[in-house]
Amino acid sequence: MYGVSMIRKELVAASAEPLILSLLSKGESYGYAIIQEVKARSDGKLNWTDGMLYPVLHRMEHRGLIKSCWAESETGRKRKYYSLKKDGKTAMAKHHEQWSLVHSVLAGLKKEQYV
Amino acid sequence: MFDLEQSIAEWRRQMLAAGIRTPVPLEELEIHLREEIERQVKSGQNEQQAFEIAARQIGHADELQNEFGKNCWAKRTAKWSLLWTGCVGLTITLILNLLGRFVFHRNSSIYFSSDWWAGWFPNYIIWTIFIIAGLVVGFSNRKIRFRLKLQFKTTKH
Repeated sequence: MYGVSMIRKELVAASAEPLILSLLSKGESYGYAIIQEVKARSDGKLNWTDGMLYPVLHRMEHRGLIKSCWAESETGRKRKYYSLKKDGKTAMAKHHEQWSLVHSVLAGLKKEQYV
Repeated sequence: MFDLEQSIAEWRRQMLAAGIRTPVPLEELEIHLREEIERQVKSGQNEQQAFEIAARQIGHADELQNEFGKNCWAKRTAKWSLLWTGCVGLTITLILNLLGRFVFHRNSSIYFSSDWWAGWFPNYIIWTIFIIAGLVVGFSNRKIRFRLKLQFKTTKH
């Protein structure tokens, strides 16, 4: 059995928006926590350059998919929290639909190889 | 002797020099940097190693600025497309109108005549709308930047 190697940067970039939307659908979060969760869930294979997350978040906010507000954490540290907006939920549903389609096509083709 | 605050200040200067001048992204990046330094120190690194790892993970200032720059690109393109289309359209309309009036001596090209209102005036209006739309898009960009600055100031104090 082969382990999953590091994911190519093109795929990392393409998956950023659906992953952020899906993470925020569980509740509001901030940049550092988003990155840590993605790294943990992918076992470190989805390796974002940390700073690159913020332009993506700002673009998504600008497009009205998410909103943000500054707040203080329990440790007194200032953080910018992001949460999902209605358009973000719609965009997330579309992403899920499209990624599921890609996955099912790939899975179907893989299955045919072993028939 | 390694001075963490001095290193962070130097890191900020590098980010500013690369062009990340709007306060909100820089503020967010610095908060991220500090959180990562804290995590690295907890996991056993000394302050200098922690800072170097965290700064490397955040990424190179020029690459980050390129990414932030993409955010404004669409709006800038829209603004200039609208302004250029409007100006070119208005200029062509004006030239054709003047040619009709003074070269071909058309009655419909006489300014403020009833035929001019019906034929030429709507053209002037259309191209003016393009220019106004371009100005509105440009102005809204400035308003957003102004709001971000205000937000930064209020959160800092």
